[in-house]
Order: sequence, then C-alpha cells, then structure tokens
Amino acid sequence: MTQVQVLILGLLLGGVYALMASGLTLLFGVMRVVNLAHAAFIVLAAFLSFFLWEGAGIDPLVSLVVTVPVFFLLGMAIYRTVFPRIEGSPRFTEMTVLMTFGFAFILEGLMSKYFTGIFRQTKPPYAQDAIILGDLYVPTGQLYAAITSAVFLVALWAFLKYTRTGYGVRATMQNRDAAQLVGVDVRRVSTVAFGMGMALAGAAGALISFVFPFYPSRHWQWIAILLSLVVLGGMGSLKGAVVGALGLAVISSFVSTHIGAVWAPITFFGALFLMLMVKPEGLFGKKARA
Amino acid sequence: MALLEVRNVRAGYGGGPDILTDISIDVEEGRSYCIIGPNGAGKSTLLKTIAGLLRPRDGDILFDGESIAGRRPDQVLATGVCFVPQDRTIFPQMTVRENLVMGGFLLRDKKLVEQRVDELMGRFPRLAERSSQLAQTMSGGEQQMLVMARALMIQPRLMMIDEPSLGLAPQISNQIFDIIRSLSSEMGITVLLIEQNVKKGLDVAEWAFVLDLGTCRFEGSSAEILDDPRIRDLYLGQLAEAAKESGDAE
Repeated sequence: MTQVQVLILGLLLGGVYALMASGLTLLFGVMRVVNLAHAAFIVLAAFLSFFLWEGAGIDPLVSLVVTVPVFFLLGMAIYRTVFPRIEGSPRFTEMTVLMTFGFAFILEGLMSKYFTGIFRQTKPPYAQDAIILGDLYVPTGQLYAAITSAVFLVALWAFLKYTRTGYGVRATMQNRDAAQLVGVDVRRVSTVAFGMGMALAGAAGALISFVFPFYPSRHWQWIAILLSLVVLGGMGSLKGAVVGALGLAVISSFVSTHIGAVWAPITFFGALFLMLMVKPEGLFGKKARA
Repeated sequence: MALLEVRNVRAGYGGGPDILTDISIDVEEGRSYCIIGPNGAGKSTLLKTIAGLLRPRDGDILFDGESIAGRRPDQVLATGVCFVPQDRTIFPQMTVRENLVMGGFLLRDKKLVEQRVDELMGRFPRLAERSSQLAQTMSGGEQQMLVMARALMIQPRLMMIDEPSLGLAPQISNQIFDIIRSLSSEMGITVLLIEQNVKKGLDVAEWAFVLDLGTCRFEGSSAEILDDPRIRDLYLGQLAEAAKESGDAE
C-alpha cells in the first residue's frame, strides 16, 4: 500500500472521529461537562439508524433527519432535568464525570437488554463500494461519512461565527462570567449547546452505523479514543478536536500499516501521554487559571 | 426618589454564612460614589448582588423604583445597570472589536451595535489602534479600558466598577481614573466604585459608603470621610486584629 493510500484512509477515519469528538468538546467548552456517556449516546443513535434501516429501509444518511433533531431535543431535556441539581457545586466538572459515567452504564445496560450484544451494521450499497483512482482506492462509505462530517462541522462553525446565539455560545466558552455580564443568558445558551452537542452525537451515530460494526459496549473503546484526542487538541477547543482527530487518525493509520493493526489504538494514548508531559493544556487549550 | 435603593439586603455564597448582614444604601442619579471598607466587608458581594450574580437572601433592591432583586444578570443589565468586576473579564480569543460587539449583545440591532462600537473607538483611541488584536494580547490597563468600554455599549445608567486599579502601574491607573471621572462628568452615568486605595477612590467620587462586616457603617461626602477619624480606626482595627490572629497562630 502506498503512503498516499494510508494517508487517505487516515483522513477519512479522522473526519468521522472529528465529528464524534466535536460534541464532546463543545459540552466541555461551554458547560465544563465531561460527558463520558457521549460515545454511548453515539451508539444509541447508531441503533436508531440501524432500526430505521432494517425496519423501513431508510438509508442511514437519510436517517440523519431523524437522529439529529431527536438527539437535539433529548440533549436539551437531559440538561434541564439533570444538571440543575449539581449546578453551582464547586466540584461541578468532577461531578459530571461521575454522573455521565453512570449514564454510560445505564445506556449500555438498556441497549444490551433490548437490542442484544450482537454486532450490528447498516449496509447501504455504498458502504461496500469503493472508488478506484489508478492504484488508489477510496471506500465510498467512509468517504460519504467524512464528507457529511465536514458538512456538520462547517455548519457548526458557521453557527458559532455568525448567529447571535452562536456569539453567546462562543462568549460563554471563552469566559462564562464575562458572558453573563454582557447579558448572555448562560443557562439558555448552555441548554442549546447541550442539545447541539447531543445532535452532533446523533449525526455521528448515523454515520458510524455503516462505517464501523457496533454493539452496546463498543462505546468504551470510542470514548477512550475521543477523550484522548479532545485532551490532545485542548479541552473545549473545536479546532483542537478537529486537528487532533485528523492528526491522530492519520498517525494510527500509518502505525496500523507499518507496525501492525493491534498497535493502532496505542497511538492515541501514546500521543496523549506525550502531550500531557509536554503541553498539558493541549494544542489549542487554555492554560488553567491558578 | 433615589436611582438605586438597596433595602436591608442579606446575602452570601452557596450554603455559606451571610457576607452582607443587613445593608441599605441610596444612590442618586448622576453622582459618583465610592464604597470603601476593610477586606471582607462585603464590598464586592454588594455589587455582585445588585448585578444579579448573587440572589439576596432577604431585603430588596430597587432600580428606578422597580425591584430587581433576584433577577438574572442579563435582566438586570437590560434595565441599565452594568458591572465591571475586578478580574478583567474579557473574551480572550476575540478581537478588541468583537469584545465591544459582544457588549451590545442585548441590543439585537446590528446597525446600532456597529454605530456604538465606532463611537467608543472614537472615545478610546487606544482601543481603536488595537481594534483587530486579540484581547488576551493586551496589557492589563488596556484590558481594563476594554471592559469599561464594553460596558458602555448598552449606554448604562448605573455603572458599578470593582477595583479598576488592581495590579496596574500608578500612571496607568491614573488614566483609568480619568475615564471613570468622565463617566459621570461627561456622560452623566451614575458611578458606584470600589477602590482599595481609599485616597484615590475618594478623590474620584463625590460621596462614600463605608462598609464593615456586611453593613454600611456610615456615609458622607468624600471630603468628610477622608478626615473622619473612624476610617483610620476601621483599617487600623483590622490590622490590629490581623496582628493578634497571627500572634495566636504562633
């Protein structure tokens, strides 16, 4: 396999990881919530797409119009019902880690009970196809997933950059107190941002449903990877999550080709260790204030 | 009727003790006030409570005759009360201009926001020079200037400023005090200022409230307060306490 081929596969994988990680980093950036259940919600969305595919023959790319709004509403409802209880706690972030860890277990348990632990995958025709360019091949399933991810990420960026609510979200990410002082209703902004973070999980779920085989407990593997690349990019930085995802996916793709597939997951954690030793705040992270 | 009336307010943080035990003050429109008092007197807590960052446990706060106690910060701001806290709350990764635009978040009218940003750039040439620079790259004095200019975006009637000179070189803090003076003298904004440097604070403001242990002990014109022997006692008293405590610790 040529180096260009490895690079292409790495970038396609990275595109999907970037979408999976964007919601996670958004929740941390705006609300200081570390959502350990993020990947579990992605698996739940994948199941939703799977059942739409199996039951009604709906293409997973079309099922986005279901998973995204459903998860947006679900996210806002979760935020409003659960988080006010721990808001204002001096250990808020730590508490969200424990709480979402619990969510992850509950979700995994429910999915295992009702959906069983069998490997699932939606199989639209393009998922098994590839575009051949000379001696390069581009798997169409991954290509479509990466393109769709890019569309969502650009939409997210445009929302943050050009809308009034987006300004409110960005302001809250940069300085929550200052945002409050210029009149941003941070509770409302947080609710919307939580919904958006979950909507991104909903989108990622529909895409992975045809990119990776999945089963309820698969989320642990993903959340570990997502956390490592979010920390690497800088917690709360969207740019960091995207750069981290693309960079690490490409590196792991090379490791997998040249050293061996079993070593690929180690890439993420190795890079994480290195980053924490050299620059603990991550590539684009803010230094913690003393 | 006073512009701002604080009536028997009691407030504190989380489940902690009362920081403000029972405080009442009246603020008249168009004048400038300084709040002084030893550390822990409740000066910052008072401003945070008025700004809506802290909910009073008891008592009432009236602005222009209307109760604003317990409202959200954005709702308090919408009435024309703005707060400039002591930690230079800028948006670090936004440009100076974007920071000012954020100050007009409540205005909703893009044209009006642009117009006011341009006005403020005219008033603060230093900010105009740095218009497209990221706010985090500016000096402490410039950041303080930016936060005050940002607060002016909504054309507030009352501006509360907490220790604007904290950590600034004397020359820079003098510039900041000049700006604060011009707020009331040129723009007719009512100013409520906290200043650790009592002399400086009294020099800028016309009237002073002296806080201790969460209540307003006494008030008076700046000239009166400056000569009041009780002021020395208050600060010296605290020093004596501190000396005693550290003595106990040993």
